[in-house]
Amino acid sequence: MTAPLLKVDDLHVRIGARDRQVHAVRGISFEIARGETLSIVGESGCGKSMTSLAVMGLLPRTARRESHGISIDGARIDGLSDRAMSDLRGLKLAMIFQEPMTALNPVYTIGNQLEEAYRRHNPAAARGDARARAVYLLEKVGITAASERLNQYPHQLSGGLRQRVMIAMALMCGPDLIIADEPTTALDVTIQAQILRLLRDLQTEFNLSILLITHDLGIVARTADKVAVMYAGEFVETGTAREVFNAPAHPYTRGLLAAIPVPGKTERGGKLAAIPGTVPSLTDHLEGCSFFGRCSRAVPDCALGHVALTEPSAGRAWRCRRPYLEEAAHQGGALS
Amino acid sequence: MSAEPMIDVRRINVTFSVSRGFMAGRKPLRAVQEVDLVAHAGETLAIVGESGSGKTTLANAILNIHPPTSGEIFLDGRAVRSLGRKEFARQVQPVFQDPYSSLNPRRSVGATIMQPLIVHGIGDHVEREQKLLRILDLVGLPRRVVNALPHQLSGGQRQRVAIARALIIAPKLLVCDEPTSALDVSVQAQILNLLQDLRTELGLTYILITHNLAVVEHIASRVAVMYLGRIVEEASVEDLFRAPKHPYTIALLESALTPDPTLGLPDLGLSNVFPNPIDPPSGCHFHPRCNRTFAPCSRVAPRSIVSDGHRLECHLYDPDIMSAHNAHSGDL
Amino acid sequence: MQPSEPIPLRETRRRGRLARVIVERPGLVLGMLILGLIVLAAIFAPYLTPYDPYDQDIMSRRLPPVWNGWFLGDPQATMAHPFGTDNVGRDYWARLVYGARISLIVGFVSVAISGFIGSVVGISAGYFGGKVDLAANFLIQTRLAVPVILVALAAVAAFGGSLQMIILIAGLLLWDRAAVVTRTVTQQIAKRDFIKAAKALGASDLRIILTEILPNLAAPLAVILTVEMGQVILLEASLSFLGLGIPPPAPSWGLMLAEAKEDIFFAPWAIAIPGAALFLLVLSTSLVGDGLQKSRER
Repeated sequence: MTAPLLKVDDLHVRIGARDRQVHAVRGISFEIARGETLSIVGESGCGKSMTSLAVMGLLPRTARRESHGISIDGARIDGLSDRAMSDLRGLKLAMIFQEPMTALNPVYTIGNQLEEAYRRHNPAAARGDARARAVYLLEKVGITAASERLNQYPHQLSGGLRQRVMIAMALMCGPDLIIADEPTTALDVTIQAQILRLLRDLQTEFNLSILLITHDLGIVARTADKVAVMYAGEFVETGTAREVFNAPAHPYTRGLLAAIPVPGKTERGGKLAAIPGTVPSLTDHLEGCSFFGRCSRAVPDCALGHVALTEPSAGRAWRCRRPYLEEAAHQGGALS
Repeated sequence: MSAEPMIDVRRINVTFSVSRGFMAGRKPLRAVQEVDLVAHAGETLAIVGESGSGKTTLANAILNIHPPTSGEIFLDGRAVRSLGRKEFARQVQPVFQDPYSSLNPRRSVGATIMQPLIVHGIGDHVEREQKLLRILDLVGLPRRVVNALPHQLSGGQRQRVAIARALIIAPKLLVCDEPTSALDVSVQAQILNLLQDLRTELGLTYILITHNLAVVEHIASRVAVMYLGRIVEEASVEDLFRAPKHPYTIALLESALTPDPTLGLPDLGLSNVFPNPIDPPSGCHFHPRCNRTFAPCSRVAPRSIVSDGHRLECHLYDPDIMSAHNAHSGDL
Repeated sequence: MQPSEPIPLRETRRRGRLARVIVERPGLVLGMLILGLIVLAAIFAPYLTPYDPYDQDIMSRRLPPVWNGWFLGDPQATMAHPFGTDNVGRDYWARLVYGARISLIVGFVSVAISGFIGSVVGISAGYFGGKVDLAANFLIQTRLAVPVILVALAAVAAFGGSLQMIILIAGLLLWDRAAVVTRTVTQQIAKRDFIKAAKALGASDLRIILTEILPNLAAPLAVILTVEMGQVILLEASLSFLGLGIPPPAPSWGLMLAEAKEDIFFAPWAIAIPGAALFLLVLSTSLVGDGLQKSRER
């Protein structure tokens, strides 16, 4: 067993001034091994994007990060200065954003931006090296006539191509970890499938670790090795993709899976199981289970105290006092 | 099925004139080409396509917001051109994707929902308020939201307001443009359930514009697949999901990622060439991306083939083209 | 039928709201305070002074303001004329408060005219687009090419200076900023789906403009028009100072400055007082405009 590439221990993110503070991320811990994909899945406002920004050290100025340690390859990065962190970004860890158009600078050519990403970390490198690497990676991400594309501007490319360029840019300095925050949400479905496949192929080829942030359970099921379901700033269930999807223990995970129509599985025209209620406000101290009030299995006790994580085996855990356990075993993994 | 379809779209085209940049002059963009569509009363017709497919332009044409450049649309047997704007609006109403954008931020929920009654001069103040309360119950909104402004509501509540506004003048046809795409999955389920309930309760007909095939399968009865302005395949939902024919439809269906961890990512085999809608490829518009393209695809535009209510524009299923092609390759 | 989501309807906390505005927007509050005081002074001018601003008193010309008595021991300075008198013995305080009426009337009425013209041009350009937009842009460009002071000089030379003339000149010339701002904002609003929803409802363009777009323009228009008001007030003062605006003996602040300039060495207060008043008024409008803008951005 080798050490994990990324290890995050008890991460908290608080946003805003003291009196109107939002406790967006409430003590989450996770590890990603080399070559592994961890997907954090949750609905809007659950804190998943704040988590990714916190790891990158790119939180907005009003946000504060606290943790018992964030380390990459065994080296702590949570105490680093902004400057040292910025040296690390691109080199060790890189990020792919949802909307490639805003992440690319419209006034520079693709080539300029790719080469700049390389020379930022390899100041001694010759111009030719950077260019060669750019062409190599553009071809890797499936862009034809790569050397001509280098002279194009972002607006001359389609959304799918721009996202490919973003991926190439993230790979310029050979990072170990890619953080992808909703990387395909702005794309068409056929392009999405192609980009996800591309990411997976690159992952195998370069032995990348991927932290994938998404709201789309389909993407998670098809791409992730490990899954963390996030709700109200906490992980409510973690495990391998098979464990979480085939035998979801937490009522929220179960609710999410029942809420989406699945061709061939859900009854056509039938009622979907919606989750009633809304997410609790994260400004206050949360007493009891954060899902209390929306949960069909809740008992009065659920509103009391803090619900601890139950961890029957390494990596498999849920934050629930009344998990679906027997049923999962009975169903043998089949979800209706 | 009644004799007259609820809406009958006959060979419509919508063409925009697009500037191609400084000094470059203008070029026609044929956003919707030769589209034929029929939706019968009580049916849910889904129009599926990706960005640039022309599905929203088609929706705007059906909504009479941007009437077609050529062709004719009939509503309940009457030409839409001959109907007054308000007469048409009484029967056809939209629900849009983004409930943040579709509600006027300065207008309260109550005023928003009653606005159609005011525009159409329906009822007096008392009757309007009665209708308002009834519609709030119908779409599952608590009455206390009447004085709220849109920004005080959640996304799901906002979409309920938009649906209530569309329904208050009792239209027969609802054109829903990506009604759940901007919502979280748990809320999406609520809105889909609501749309289903309303359809049976009020006998509505839906035209559902979406890119989400799982949603189509769940609530639609017929489905039309659009690519670069054309309908490339149209069939009943059962038919299309059981036996899709057009290579593009097949790719779309494979791309719909169901949450099943035993399935990996699909290999679509589509090429990364992305055609420009202003300059669509010759022959079949899909041929540059298609994984089954062959000689005639780049030369001849496929004709429409209909069998058993399954309509298709693809050379692979055109017996004439295929026999000619096979004979030709047999010669070699 | 449906389990509706309960909750939302975020509470609007009314308590402590005023206190928070004061802490977060001191500029806005200060600006509104000054502007409010000046408006009140203008409205209640007859109650604030026993003098008529036009009454000359040859016996008491160029009396210094009362504080000259306090600090410099000037025996002529009395509470009878707290701000002193001008070179023909008119009470300076009376002229100042009555003069505020002129500045404010010019400011408000011109801005109403220019705001109206600008909104019509801007909204039609932004809403209809295409050829209407081209025409509106041409109008705006043409207007920007017109030198305001020169046109004002020509108009006054041709028709004579008067309050109405100044208002007309400012109102008819200074609509460009309102037009540019309303055009941009209208373009943004027109793209949103609630406009499409109104069109799909069969609502007429006029109704859409009046009921859907205009309410959303109120805030940006308020910002631009307050700032513009300061500019108009300065324009009136400048023209009057040059003798091309409000004709004497009206108590325009610009005119007061002009009449006082020969006496600058004998009676410096005569220039300082209307100058300070003008400064405070224009400062207050920019503070308010700036404050409104910032509140909008939040």
